[in-house]
Amino acid sequence: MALLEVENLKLHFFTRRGAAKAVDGISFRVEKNETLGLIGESGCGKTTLAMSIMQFVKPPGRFVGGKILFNGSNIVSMTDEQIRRLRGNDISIVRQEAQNALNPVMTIGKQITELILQHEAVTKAAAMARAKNQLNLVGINDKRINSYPHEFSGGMKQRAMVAIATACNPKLLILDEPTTGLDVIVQRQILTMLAALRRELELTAVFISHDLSVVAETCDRVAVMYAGKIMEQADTLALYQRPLHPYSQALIGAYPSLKGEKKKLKSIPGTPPRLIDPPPGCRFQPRCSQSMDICRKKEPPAAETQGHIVACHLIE
Amino acid sequence: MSQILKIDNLKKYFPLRKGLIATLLGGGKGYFRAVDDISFAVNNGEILGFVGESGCGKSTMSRSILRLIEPTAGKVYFSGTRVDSLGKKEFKPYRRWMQMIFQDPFGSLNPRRAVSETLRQTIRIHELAPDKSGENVLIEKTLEEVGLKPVDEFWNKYPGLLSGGQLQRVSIARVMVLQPKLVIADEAVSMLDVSVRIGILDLLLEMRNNYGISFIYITHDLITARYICDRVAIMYLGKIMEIGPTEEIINNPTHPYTRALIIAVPVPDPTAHISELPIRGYVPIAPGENDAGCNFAPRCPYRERQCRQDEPEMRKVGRDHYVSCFAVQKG
Repeated sequence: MALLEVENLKLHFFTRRGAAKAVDGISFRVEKNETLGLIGESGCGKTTLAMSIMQFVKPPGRFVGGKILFNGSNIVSMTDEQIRRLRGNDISIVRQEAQNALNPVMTIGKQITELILQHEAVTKAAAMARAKNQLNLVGINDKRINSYPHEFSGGMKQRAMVAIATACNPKLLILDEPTTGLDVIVQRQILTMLAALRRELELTAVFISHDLSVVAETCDRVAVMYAGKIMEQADTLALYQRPLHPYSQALIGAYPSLKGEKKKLKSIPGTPPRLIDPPPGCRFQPRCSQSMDICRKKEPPAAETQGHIVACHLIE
Repeated sequence: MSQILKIDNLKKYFPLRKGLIATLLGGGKGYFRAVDDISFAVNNGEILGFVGESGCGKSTMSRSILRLIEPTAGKVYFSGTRVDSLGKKEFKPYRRWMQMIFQDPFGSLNPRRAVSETLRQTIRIHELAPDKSGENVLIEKTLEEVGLKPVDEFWNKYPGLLSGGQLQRVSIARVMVLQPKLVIADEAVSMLDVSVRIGILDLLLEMRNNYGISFIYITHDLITARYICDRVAIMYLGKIMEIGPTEEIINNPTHPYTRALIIAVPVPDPTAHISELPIRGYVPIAPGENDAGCNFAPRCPYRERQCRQDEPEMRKVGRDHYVSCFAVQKG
């Protein structure tokens, strides 16, 4: 059984101008010890998806259909109490911009111990010892346990976030753009730390990013999102070497690199659709260079082919 | 090759705030050297990149050049004329020739002004057209040039209805309409999605190719710098560590900091080998008084006693390729 299984999940935001279909019929699985990458442009629903797994969705956002099975039980139909026990304990999240996610008036040590004491029947002293251990694990000297977030640099704040998120040995860790906004050297330090941590704690993770190169080196499998839908899923190597969906191809084709010959790149014409009134048929069709008649009429179903799961009329 | 811009020993120091007791005890005042003795030149029609981590002084440098803040010391020559010592009034005509594109297109455009009115304002301030119909012609031509086509569709749109890429095109149009000679693009694509980033970079290249506009391209991202820059300068804590032709810097970096920067960049290829970072630590957070010697020495794996005492000078290591490092110069 997969640790996380999302089935035809739909989450819409009901605004005055209509329903924004931020997550619209998404299915994927994450096996134990696997890291799944979720890539896509801003506004394609990546973070909404993460928020729905964490059950952080607030009105006007509402589940319209589908299931999120964690270890076989459906998170969507859980009571608040059940979710509270799950959150931070079995499923944790590291959010983008640690700056805003940390409590500015609480020491790092307190923020870690509070979580441990919430979920486990241990003494304060034991929780404190665990907190110190957590800091060492993410590469912060445990002498800093009584520091406040503002005393940390951007990279250290992100490390502290990871220390909090992994304090209760979660089974699933969601990383939402964990290195976005960090400088490249700090990003490298955080990625190295995360890789070591994943091995050590045998973490299963969902790694959300708009950065194809970070996902390439971090993830086992990748799902490409566009306008609330998954366009293609495959093993990382297969996806980067032979993308089948025109959107994956365009995305990879627009991505510059420092390695190898300098090549001419092509941007994708147009902009992503508004989620209130997405185009008929395939959502990528207005920007697709290979669009056909049927693409405007019928939404392509996701089909498995050559180890990829692709939603495109070209592949059938 | 003539130079559009020449900078000699530019400095921008910010006084450090001290506590009362420290002020009473200590004699001299401390300074944070945000831009610390920088010299370089931009050739006509050249795109020169400045790459460095946040806080290294890239933006302070560009604002000092444009005199959005006044530099502490140094000389700025524009087309051979010294402009840093000009009075406000005498400097005004130069403002038109030196323009800037900012990082955040959402914040740099007036949300209550339609696209065409944004351009019209610029045209009026600089008196670029004789009458309203002349203004309209110019606006239409410029919008078309920056790829906001069909023009009718964008004419009356307000910034709130445009995407990040389209907004950045409006910012570029506002600069373009002035026919500047030098544009400083400060992290111009950092906030944009990958799929539209290349489109904006191509537009900047087109402006250079069609009109010979020179650029200073400021970024933390070596990858986009590689895409458009002829030369790049690597900055660290207010100083240029290494400067040279882009491909030369990327394929043959000599300064330890440049090497670390290049190794740190992730590659969009799952099979790529990831090398270990050769340096440790962070860029200092709190602006303190910089120590003597090389600014990078505290993090440098090759540092020797000399690096802590003296400051390395820029030395030539290849064609157009200069580096400021004792270890490299010793070989």
